[in-house]
Amino acid sequence: MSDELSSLIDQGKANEYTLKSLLRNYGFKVPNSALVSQTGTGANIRYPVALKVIGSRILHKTEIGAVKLGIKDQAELSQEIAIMREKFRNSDLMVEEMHTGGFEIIVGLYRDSTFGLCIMIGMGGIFAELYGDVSFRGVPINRVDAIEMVKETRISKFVDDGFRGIKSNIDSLVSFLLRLSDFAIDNEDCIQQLDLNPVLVKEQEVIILDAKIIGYSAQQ
Amino acid sequence: MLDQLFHPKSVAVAGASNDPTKIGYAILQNLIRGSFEGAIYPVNPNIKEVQGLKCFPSVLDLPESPDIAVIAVSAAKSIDILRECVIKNVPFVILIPGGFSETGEPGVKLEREVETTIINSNTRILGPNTVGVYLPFSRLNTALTPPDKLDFPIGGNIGLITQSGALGLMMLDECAGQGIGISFFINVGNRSDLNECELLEYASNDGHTAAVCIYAESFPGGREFFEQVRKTSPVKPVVILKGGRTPTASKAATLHTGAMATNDNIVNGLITQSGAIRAYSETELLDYGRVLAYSKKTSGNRVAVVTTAGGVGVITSDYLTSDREGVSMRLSPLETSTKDRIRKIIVPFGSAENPVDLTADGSVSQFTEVLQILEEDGNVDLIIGYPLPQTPKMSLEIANGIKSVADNGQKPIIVGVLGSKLSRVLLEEFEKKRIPAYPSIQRAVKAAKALSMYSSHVLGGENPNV
Repeated sequence: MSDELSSLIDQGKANEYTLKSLLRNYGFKVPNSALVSQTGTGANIRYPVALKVIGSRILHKTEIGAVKLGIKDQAELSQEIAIMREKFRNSDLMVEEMHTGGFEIIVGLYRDSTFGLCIMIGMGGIFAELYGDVSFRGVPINRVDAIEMVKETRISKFVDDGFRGIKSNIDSLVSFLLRLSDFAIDNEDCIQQLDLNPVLVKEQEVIILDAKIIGYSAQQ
Repeated sequence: MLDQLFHPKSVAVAGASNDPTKIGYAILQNLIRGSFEGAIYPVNPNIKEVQGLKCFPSVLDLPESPDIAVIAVSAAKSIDILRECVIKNVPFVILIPGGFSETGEPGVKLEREVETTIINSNTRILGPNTVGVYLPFSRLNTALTPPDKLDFPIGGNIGLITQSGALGLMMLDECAGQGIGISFFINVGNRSDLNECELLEYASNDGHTAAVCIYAESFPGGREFFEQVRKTSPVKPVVILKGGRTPTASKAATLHTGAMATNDNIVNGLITQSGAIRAYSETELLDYGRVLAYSKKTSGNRVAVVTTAGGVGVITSDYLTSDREGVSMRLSPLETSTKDRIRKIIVPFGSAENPVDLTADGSVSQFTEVLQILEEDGNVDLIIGYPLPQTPKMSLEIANGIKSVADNGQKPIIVGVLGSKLSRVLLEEFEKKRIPAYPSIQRAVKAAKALSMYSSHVLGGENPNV
């Protein structure tokens, strides 16, 4: 496992597509996706879809227009692919099923120079940063840690009873955090930072919508 | 490993002096006045006798290797004496002087020298830049403060470890004033050798200690410190006051997780993860230390409140249940049988609902009986009681009543006593009996929260009220 991620990072191939595939193989839920081949569009995929430029150097896609959301059908997709290819020559494209509903959170890993690899969960979008609504722990974490992390943030307002019909269950969030903690331990030597942002939390499932990584090597 | 530090049979003081302006004077005074029962060896090449004791020219001239050598000379001069201690095989050196790594480059070099001096030796160092230790059960006081400037507390069950010496001494004075007993005080200073990890390990097995309070500005070894706290906290609760919590905006974070990874966010998580309780002030440090050292664990966060003043019950309910300016705990819904039993005891205009109000008519026996009834209620996890001594039928006797209910029952009882004149006396009574008592509603409620958080983490269940 560790080798797979570290070799992706070393070869500069740790982009959204490869990272998500790796996370999918690890047992996380990620949207169905396909690489856009030179000739055609994506494979068997359910609309609406998102079209994204992939590249290990691109960290903030939205800011540079490297993502197009809500593409409704094949015709629109072909159009958007043409536009994207014009803007980002020589870049690979991926097309991905879109998920709606639920609410968004951010989950991440961070290597602290004093305390080592830490895991974080927070309310999604701008709220984590705006209100500091996040919770950290050192990895590995156990079940009690995971529960306490969720309860320390406003995510807890959506747990169990939910709020105005938006809800999640604590078990799926806890399983998600424990899986990420395992992933962190398995790949401890090569992660500087990992952002899973946003992660979509629905009533019965937790889906990683975007993933970014900054690799680490001990020589840094 | 640290037995000789905690239970020394002999102590040398290098730099012992007859000059009251020297710290070597105060340290020797504290040792003598503290009635240290072992041998005291003053060391000073310039004098023959000091404060009535024979003075030795050098550590090497001592008749035995003392368990502890306190070095109370300047940083520059201390290295030579430290070398003598190594030669003499002194197990523990308390290196008092400042002027080491805390002062910048030349001091850093000097501290390296301290570290290299003890390599491959049997000598361990506390400090430098420390006020030393106060160990009431060993009657050992190496504090450098003149004895008339502050009081030292009685022996008790709270261990105190501080990185800052002055703050530590003031907390000792505070403990003494409130009658809070401590099991040990150790000022780790610059921690060139001994640090909190080993002290916590020792405290885990120390029969006197029931809880440990730590003031730290940094954590030795990073995760290593928290690994030790995680091992210690289930047996001896740990409270941590972290100094320096404003974010340092030095990191060039590129991802969102990195942007949120302030030192304080991470420290906060690690404190909770290790099962410790975080204090945000020196007052909270001792408040939480006391409730954790004195009380049983609570099995949940449902609180019953009993008071002799209605307003006190109302404010307590607000603090308890609110998530804004409050601690998000719950008021227990009392069982019907509980309410029926209480109604038979209290005046008709009192309240048998939670918060239970005995009104100013409440007597010692009524208050004690109500506590016992609440103790037996299956909906109640923890009790906060306000026996207010200003009312006609309340007296100091209530401390005995509460003590007996708390000792014989399963549930923690936290006490609030408001006012001043009689309250101070009553608070002292509770302190003597090791019942956690607080002079304000807010402090009583926050202590309840600290106990609840600790209990739920240690009992391994879901933390009901984070």
